[in-house]
Amino acid sequence: MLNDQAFAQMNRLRTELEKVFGAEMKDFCSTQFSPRVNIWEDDSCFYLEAELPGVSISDLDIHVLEGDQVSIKGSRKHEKKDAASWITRERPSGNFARTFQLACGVDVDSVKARMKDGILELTLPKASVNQPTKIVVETGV
Amino acid sequence: MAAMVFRSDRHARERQRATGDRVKIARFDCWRSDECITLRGDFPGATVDHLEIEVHQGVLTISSALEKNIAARDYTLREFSGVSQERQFRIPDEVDSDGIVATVAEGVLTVRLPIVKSEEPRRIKVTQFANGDNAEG
Repeated sequence: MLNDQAFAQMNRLRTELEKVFGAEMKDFCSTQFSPRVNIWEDDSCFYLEAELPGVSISDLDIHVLEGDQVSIKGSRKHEKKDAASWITRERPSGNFARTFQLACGVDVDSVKARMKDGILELTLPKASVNQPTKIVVETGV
Repeated sequence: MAAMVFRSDRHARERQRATGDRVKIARFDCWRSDECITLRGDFPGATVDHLEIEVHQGVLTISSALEKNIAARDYTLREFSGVSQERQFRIPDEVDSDGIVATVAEGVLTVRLPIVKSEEPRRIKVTQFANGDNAEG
């Protein structure tokens, strides 16, 4: 059985492949829902936003793994209709799982998450040991 | 029973050429019941201020435009941006265009198009007059 460390390494590989081939490749598998994600940072925090329209908070599972990876899992349910009622189905649905490698560890206890208008917003403060420390230069006498 | 007709993306391409902004074709689910036809599409991040729905000459146009002016960010991964979306539909004759209702919640737009029940055929009785009589008696 593969351990968590092996899965974490596989997720890192997947993230790097997605960077190379781009998010547009996901559109080729239109029936499977896979949220698109932006990640950026400043000196104090990492920020992540994910497109999750129609996903309920109760169907969402967010974890920080090994202090420097963020995992987003969940499912988007489809309306159940009789086959005769459907005219077309273009929106993807189903389970999704994505994990992202961050450049350094985060303060897990201070992570904040918010869902607004179908976009998940995460704020992940960097662990204090990873934040830049200003060195004051003293003048010699 | 006429079905919803999904028009081509020609209008979206024209809008893209005119504005210079990328316009994405919005994807929709569509189903019908006895009372209405329902359209549901994903517009993550959109509120009522970002969405525009227009009915003109039997064509329903749904479009969105998100803010583009975002403060400079040091992205390490960027898979989406505030791109505009658009889609057009030919409305069947059985739809009551004045009764179309649209709502947005959690980044999902729902448009309901009520179906007008067609009148049952009304039979006109033919009265036979005798020769020389007229209808005014």
